Amino acid sequence: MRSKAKLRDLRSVTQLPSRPKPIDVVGPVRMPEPMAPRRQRAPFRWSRLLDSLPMRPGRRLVGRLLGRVVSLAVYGTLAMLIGLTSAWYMIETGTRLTLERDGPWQRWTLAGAPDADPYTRAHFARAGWLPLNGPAAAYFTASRDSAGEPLYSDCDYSVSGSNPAARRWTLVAYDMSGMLLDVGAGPAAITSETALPGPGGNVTIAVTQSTSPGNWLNLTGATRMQLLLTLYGARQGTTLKAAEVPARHLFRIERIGCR
Amino acid sequence: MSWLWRRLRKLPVNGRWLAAAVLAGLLLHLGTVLAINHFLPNRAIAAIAQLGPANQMTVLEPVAKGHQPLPFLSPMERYAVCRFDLRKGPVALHTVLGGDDWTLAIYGATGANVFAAAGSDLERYEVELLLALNSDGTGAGLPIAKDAGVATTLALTERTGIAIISAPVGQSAYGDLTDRLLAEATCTQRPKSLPQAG
Repeated sequence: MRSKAKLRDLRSVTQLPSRPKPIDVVGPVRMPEPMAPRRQRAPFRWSRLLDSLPMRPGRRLVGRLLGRVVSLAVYGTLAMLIGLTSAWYMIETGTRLTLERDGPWQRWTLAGAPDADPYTRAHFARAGWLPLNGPAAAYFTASRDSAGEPLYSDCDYSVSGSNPAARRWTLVAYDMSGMLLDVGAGPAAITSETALPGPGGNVTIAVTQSTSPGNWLNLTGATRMQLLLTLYGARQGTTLKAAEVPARHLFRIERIGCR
Repeated sequence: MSWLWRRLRKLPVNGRWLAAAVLAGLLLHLGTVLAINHFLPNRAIAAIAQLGPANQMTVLEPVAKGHQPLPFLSPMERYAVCRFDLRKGPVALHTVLGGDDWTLAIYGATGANVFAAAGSDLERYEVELLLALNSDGTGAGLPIAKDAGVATTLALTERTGIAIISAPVGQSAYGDLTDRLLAEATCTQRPKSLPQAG
């Protein structure tokens, strides 16, 4: 009984009301300790890596040389990639420096010019194309339609727009190396003399493998292709001013469907 | 992409080596472009050289699939070409253009179009043109655009090149005339001591 009473006393002691919380005293503001400056990672060096390895000096020297060789190979490959890829791209595809783009059409602005830039000269020398100088003719190629999709000879396209303001124009389909597609007995080209204008003077040309009434440019096969629109001279006056022909009035190329 | 960027940032990159690689790449770029222009022969000039001897006009077959010596030739044009060589002396070109849309174009050995005239440019369709090296001292008559019908000298800086006459294929009724005019075009070597024409 006694022990039970002691236990009760102890409980009562433990169940004493808790002491009031100490009031927070606002003391002097403790400034955060200044952060240690962020350690910058030292640039990687093969020599440092090799120095950290337990090796004999001779091996270390060989390792350093090897490291140099590896660096040279890696960065040399990078230099080759940068140099050759950019040269190939600027010669084959062209950039804004050498090309004028208008919708799907693009034109090497200095094609055939004696003072053409080295990229243009290399492009035409590699392609084996002898274009007339800018004032005599303007060559616009399109390897994609107006929606940006590549042109294929097994698809049907509608090429339409206002009659180009040139003395004469031709539209021909070639493969990607500039060789004619095998069109059989169908028309291989449309020219300003053969094109029949529609209402309002607009021209619509069906570029398709199926026989089509009106203006029809025949296609065959199933290959990537490009269209070449050549403008000879301007309609105004007698002098050749193809370079001044507004490019915005070139034809739109819309895909109708594919086989 | 951010994952790739994080990975790339962890790659050990030496800034100096990277800068040197970019600089070397630019030099290689310039060297490649200049080398292609200097050493790579123009494919078109090489293809035309296969067609016949120098200083002789050759009428090409109608352009069609399989009969296309050069890329991007138009099936709506007929062509006559002359590969001229001025090392033994000037070369005289004579042709009669059949209409406003006929063109006569002279290309240098690099493929640059150094001269082009359409029928609509000329007062007369008959063209008599003397191609000579600039160093021969005979090249004094540039430009020729309004001097058709009179032998006019075109001074060139390159010893070889190509002359191309292109004739649009119009209505079939004119096909014979086109063929005849192209066949009558000439390209002949003249002796070096030829006095200045004109």
